[in-house]
Amino acid sequence: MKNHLLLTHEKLDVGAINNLVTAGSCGAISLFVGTTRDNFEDKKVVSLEYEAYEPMAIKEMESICGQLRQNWSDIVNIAIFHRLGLVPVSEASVVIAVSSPHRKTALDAVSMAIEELKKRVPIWKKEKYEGDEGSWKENKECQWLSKEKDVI
Amino acid sequence: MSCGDTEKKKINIRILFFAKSRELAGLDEASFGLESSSITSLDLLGKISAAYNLEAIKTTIILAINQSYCNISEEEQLHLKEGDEIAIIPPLSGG
Repeated sequence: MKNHLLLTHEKLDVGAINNLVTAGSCGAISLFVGTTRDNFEDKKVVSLEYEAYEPMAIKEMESICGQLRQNWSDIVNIAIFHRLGLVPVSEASVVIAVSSPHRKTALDAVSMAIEELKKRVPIWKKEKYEGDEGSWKENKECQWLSKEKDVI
Repeated sequence: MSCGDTEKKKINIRILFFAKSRELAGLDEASFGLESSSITSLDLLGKISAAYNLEAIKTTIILAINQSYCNISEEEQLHLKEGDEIAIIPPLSGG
């Protein structure tokens, strides 16, 4: 039962992350790979740059692992890797992997993990466009932008 | 915290800027002096925004105090200590 968490400037290796969560007791590994898109509202995105409040991001990722394990006690291993710095279009910016004895847990847990990551892990991305300076993106999941201003 | 004497003490906090706030401030981090260690999160954000050119995005920012999110409200009374780490958190866009 391990949580593997990493913020890295290196290219993410999906196969290696898959191997990290592999376990003999598990019949399922579910993977989510988030990749960088080449367009936004008719503008051509040439690259994306990510930055993080690193110690807090790791802390929030740990907290997400705790939340997942509380919801699904049969989760075996979890990996959450996020890339930082310049990420070329169509490369992976985030990889989440969960292993469990049966598939439903792994599938549902990975889905919750990416939603929670977008909501509360302090990471930011700036899209750079062709012939333009670029702009900082905002996740629609980001809670304090909603009118209610709910407590996180 | 209940000790009234310490609340009026001047302290220095550390401010970290990220994303758009880092570009607007032109800084990654700064040391910031406060007249009192007792301040609401709304006042703290107001002071920081005025000092570091963040007025334009002030309503979209929240703060993290020593790596925990803090709601921005006049009812959110903070009791800060010397060296506390206050991060400026613009809307998130990870993933």
